[in-house]
Amino acid sequence: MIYKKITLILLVVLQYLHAVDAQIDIVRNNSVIPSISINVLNTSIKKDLVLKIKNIVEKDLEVSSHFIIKPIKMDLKDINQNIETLRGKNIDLILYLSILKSDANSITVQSKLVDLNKKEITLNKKYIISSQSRYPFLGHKIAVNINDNLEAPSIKWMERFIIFSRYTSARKSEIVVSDYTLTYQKVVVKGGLNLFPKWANKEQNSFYYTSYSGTFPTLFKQNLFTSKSKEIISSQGMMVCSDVSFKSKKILLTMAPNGQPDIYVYDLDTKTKQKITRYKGIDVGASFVDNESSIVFISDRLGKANVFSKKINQDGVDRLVYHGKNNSQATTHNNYIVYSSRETNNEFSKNSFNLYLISTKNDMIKRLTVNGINKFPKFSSDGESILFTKNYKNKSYVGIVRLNYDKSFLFKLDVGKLQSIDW
Amino acid sequence: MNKYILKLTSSVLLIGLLAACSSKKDNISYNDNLNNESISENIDDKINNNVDDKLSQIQTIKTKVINSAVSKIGKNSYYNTVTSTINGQDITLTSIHFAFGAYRMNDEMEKITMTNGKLISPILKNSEARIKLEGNCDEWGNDEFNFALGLKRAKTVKDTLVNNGIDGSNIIVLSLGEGNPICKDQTASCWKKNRRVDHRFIQ
Repeated sequence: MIYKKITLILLVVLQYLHAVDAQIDIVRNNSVIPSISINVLNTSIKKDLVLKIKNIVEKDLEVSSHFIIKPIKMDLKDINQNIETLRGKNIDLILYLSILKSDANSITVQSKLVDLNKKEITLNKKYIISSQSRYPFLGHKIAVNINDNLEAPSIKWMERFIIFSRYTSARKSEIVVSDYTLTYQKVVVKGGLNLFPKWANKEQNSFYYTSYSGTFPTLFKQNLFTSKSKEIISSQGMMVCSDVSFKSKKILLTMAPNGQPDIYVYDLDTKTKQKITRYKGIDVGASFVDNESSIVFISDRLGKANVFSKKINQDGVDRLVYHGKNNSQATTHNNYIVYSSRETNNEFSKNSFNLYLISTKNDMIKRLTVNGINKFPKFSSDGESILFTKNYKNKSYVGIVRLNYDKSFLFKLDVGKLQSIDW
Repeated sequence: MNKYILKLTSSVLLIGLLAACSSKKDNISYNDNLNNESISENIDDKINNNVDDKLSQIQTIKTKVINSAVSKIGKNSYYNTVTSTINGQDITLTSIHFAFGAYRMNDEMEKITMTNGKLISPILKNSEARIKLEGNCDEWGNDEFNFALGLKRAKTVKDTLVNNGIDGSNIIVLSLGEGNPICKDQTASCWKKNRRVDHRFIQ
């Protein structure tokens, strides 16, 4: 009898040992968002640039909403002795960066991603940039690769260029290319008044913009890498390219050949234009929707600026928004629209503008911002994020809303007076 | 029997210990021994470093302005004025101002437009000059909408001039949206000054 008892006790003890391990595994498997720490192993460049690169990577991973940043100092060679400590702090990943100067202006970064759960280095990459000023793109690339390595939803949009125009003084502006945080900035057009830049294709190798240097506003297309530009079309009054079709063969224009602003579709191959709106007031800011059979646009046909839709080859418009005092800006992605709505009516004081998300297929409406002046909403190419600008308490920011995560992030904006922006 | 129990116990204990030890095998090899070697990614700057000044390039088609047009803020009022010198003569035209978000003129502005028309008419009749009406806006709202609003303001002034006898083919309308402010203060009076249509002679 006693032998049976001993055997039973031993079996129970063994079962307990296994159960403890199983419990740990279950806890880890339930940890949906991994936590990551970023350490700089060694460097031969200036400390402030090292910090900037590290901060870009950390911020990108945070903005992705796929990681929790947990700062912890741990040398690579000390990991094995400190596994339990790291586990106790719920650290799942540690990224190590060696940031070295290659020659006068170029940087080489060696990155190693240690997965503490798999107990191995799962990503080992070296990056080279020839110009230190491009460090934000280096940081974005590192973050995107880490994200892809863990097979999280893509954040490749972080590597894309932003293009914007800013006023430098009265009747003068310049066009600038930047990263999504507006940290890297490069002027690509200057001299006179050059406005409303718009990417000409998804490859981002050329862009449209409007020049006011001649008698009439004229639309140009410029190659980003050669700076060669060609005239597309001009019009008395105003000329804005507000959207480009998916295959980049057609563009939507707001122009006014007779002094009356209307929306046109322009075919770049046949060089013909089709007038879409005929209202005698203001129709602007059109975007293609519904496989380019319709447009969403801004019109004051009901007294105040609001958001409407229209089939390109039919008469008749549909109102899409039923709230706000003035909705003069909208961006679209598939069946979704984000618009900037003025919620006050004050010509004598500051107004507030907030962003709202609606669907064209149902009654859903969701407020995305709560205070300040929020303008220039733009969907990312994958439709999962919104870029916008915010003025609040005399400070300016560029903001990113991560729609699937109900999170938004702000970056201090120091670009002068922003006129127009495209992503 | 006792020997059997001892062996069984020892075996069980040994198995238990081995199981416990295997779950604590944590050493990470941090040498480069992955299947994929260190992959280099070259992130070069391909954007052209030579940024031409567009103004210098396009000057060949730039419209020549007859002498100079100077914006002066009228004394004791919010009205803006633009003075052009044509054939040695100064012509000062009062800008037309608009209410917040509006492109209709009030009665006062309509009278000023008719006064301007009397000054414009002989110039257009006796020279090859044309007149350009530039619509402007305050900083509120989206700039594309403001460009359209500025244009509507310019067109309103054009229509009034045409209705008072000016040949419409000599009038060009243009909008500068928020891009040509005459003041930048964050005040209601500054915003009022910026909501206007200026008149400039061109050839």
